[in-house]
Amino acid sequence: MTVREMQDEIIRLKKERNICILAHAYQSHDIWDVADYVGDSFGLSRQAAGTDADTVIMCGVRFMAETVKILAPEKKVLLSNSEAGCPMAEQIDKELLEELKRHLPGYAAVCYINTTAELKTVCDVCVTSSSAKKIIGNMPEDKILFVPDCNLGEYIAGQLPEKTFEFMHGGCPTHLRMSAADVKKARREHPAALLLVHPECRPAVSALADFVGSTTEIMEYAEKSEADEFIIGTENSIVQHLQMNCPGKRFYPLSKDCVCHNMKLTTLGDIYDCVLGRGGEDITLDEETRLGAKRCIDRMLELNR
Amino acid sequence: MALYSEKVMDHFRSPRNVGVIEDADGVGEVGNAVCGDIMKIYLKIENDIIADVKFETFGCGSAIASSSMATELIKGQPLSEALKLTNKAVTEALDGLPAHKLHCSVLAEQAIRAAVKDYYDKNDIEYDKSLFPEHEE
Repeated sequence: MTVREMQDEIIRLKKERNICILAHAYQSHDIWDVADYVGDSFGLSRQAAGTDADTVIMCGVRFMAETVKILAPEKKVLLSNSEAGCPMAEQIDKELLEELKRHLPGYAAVCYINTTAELKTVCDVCVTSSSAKKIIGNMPEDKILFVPDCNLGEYIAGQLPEKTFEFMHGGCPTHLRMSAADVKKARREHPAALLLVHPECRPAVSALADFVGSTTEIMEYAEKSEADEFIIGTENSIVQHLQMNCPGKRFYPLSKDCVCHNMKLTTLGDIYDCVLGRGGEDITLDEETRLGAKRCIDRMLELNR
Repeated sequence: MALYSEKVMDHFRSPRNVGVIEDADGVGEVGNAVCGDIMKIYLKIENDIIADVKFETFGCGSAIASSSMATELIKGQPLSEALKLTNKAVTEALDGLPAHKLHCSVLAEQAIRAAVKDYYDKNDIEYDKSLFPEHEE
């Protein structure tokens, strides 16, 4: 079976079996081609909750499939490859957060959406990289414990000087691989290019960028910009996707090492197995965890208005 | 009993020796993209003594606390002592770690060994190769 034949068969089967396929932007292009929606983690969850499909296949990592299940409990939610986890989401568990809260009375616990459903049950609200400033800005609390990514946290704190922040030393191992030395090298090689980076990068990298934003924001910025060349400081799939979308412009990775191996675990074959009903992991959450995590997500939606 | 001891919480919240030594004599980095904990140890060595040590770790609470405690345990010590540091000693100094987080203390032990090996290699110092089994690099 060729890639094209497998894609055609996946598309035929998903329609026949009322399946919705969601692909995170860090997935490869052959997977984008069979997806109903492509986007960042929260955008995908909202799509999932709104679809009338009976089954949702999440091509991404575990917390994303959990978020879909939290919002759409009546649907069957399959994680395309059960090995695909987010290392950052594993950096903090419920017990650690509870201990932190005990040491920081009066602080509101805000977590990144890249956390487990269980962690969300003990947080006040969760945020995405693009909504964090607005949500935390709208919170009545002035003291914020932000977990787990301290680099994203510092970026947000810089935009909200009126609030006090506490962090832990967590972060995304993929984005942490990029350094200020990479920026220097890329700027030298592509002096006319604009540097667009994700706020999960180290502050020393973000400080040198022309634009800092979420994956979706970086893509929108590059597509609308009148500039011709861009250095991209996020997962390297975005470089490929932008090059496909904007053939008249040039895109360069800030570092060739910025590859999320967990996101790359999912293959087209995994999705084929999922639509055939012989692959993927059926995500289950007990109702107490689901409702606890949902409260955290609902507050995010409420504060994002 | 709480899953995380007071010492773990103390070293997690106020880690000692965080940072980078720009002109380090030895640097050790361990961890991998899939596990997600990246630990980097920098050593400044004078007359075979660890004159200064810093670490850069982004990871879970146990990884931060293990790095912090491990650097405290080797600071000012001769290299020969630093090489004897075990993950068990790190764990005990922290009054224990949750069972599923014990690998974090192993990472600290490995990062220190990698940094010492880097120092030996850079300075063409001969050493007993059996101290640095392949899998620990």
